Amino acid sequence: MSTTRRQLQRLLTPVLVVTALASLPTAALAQSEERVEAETEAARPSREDAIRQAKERAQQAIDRRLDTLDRLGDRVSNNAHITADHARSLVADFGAAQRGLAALGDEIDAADTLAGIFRLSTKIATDYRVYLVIAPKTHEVIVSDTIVDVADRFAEVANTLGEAIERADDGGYDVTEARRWLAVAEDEIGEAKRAGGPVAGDVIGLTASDWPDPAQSALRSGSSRLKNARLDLHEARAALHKSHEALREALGV
Amino acid sequence: MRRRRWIVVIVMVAAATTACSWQPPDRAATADVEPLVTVETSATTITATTVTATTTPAHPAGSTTTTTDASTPDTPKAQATAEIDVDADLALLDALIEGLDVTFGEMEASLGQNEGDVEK
Repeated sequence: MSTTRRQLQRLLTPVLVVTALASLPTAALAQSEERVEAETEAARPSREDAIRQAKERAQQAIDRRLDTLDRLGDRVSNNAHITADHARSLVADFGAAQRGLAALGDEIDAADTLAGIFRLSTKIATDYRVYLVIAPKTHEVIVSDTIVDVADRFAEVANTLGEAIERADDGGYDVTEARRWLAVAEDEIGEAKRAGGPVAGDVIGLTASDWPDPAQSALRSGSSRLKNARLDLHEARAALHKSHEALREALGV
Repeated sequence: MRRRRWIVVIVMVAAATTACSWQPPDRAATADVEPLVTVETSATTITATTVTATTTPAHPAGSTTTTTDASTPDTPKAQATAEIDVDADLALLDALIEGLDVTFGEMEASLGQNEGDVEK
């Protein structure tokens, strides 16, 4: 009997140890779940906290836009190529948006319900479209006016070069190559002005209410035409350099 | 004796007066000539410039010619060479293109923006 009990003990002891070890993680997991639930309950914000956080997020969104408008204003004021009319119009847009956003910020600050704050917060984007309309249209106007101004400077140099070519031609020098490159340059200059010049007028009047259309399509079209105009001016520059070199070669200087 | 003393005084006064009014010959000449030379130089420059302009009537107003030498021969080659000295203009165009490229990059970046967290 005693031998049988010992054998039974030998068999049961490892079984009990294994069972105890297996039950440990389950107990630990149960404890962990209880703790997470308790922590979540503690971290859940109160209504006041939720309102405060929503107001902070809205104010941050407004401040970002006001900073962007300030930077755009500096960019316009310091640009040497933009026309006075275009600069005036854009600066007026920036001022109106800045005043509107500041007033909206005051309204949000005075709101006392989450629903009211969310309703007002959506207006930060939809009523002003700083990033979708104002910023891109400003940049397109600047690029468009820059292209016109730069093209005019190119035309002046082309004119000077053209007169030198004619004079050399009068003197009996072969200026065929110089004249050919000059014609290429003049074509490219004209093309750049035709493609890029009208963009400023096409987009400067866009407002937030024009989003998505016609603003989106006008800005896309403007960007594409400005890209072409920029390439035209690059081509014109290369052609002017080649014309200049060809004339020097013709004259042997 | 007294007369002789007077003579000495008169001679000394005369010598002192002469010494005070004397100037070295070269300095006196410079004082008279220097302004004349300056005027003459300016007049020559103006004349030379005028001559250049009038003998090359085909030069356009505001031309970028860098001709400053009045002795430049009035030949088509010389004139054309002077007029195609537009290196500075071409360098300016290069700078303008670089500026345009920067402005263009800013425009492209602005087109990639969105209204962020509150966009609806």
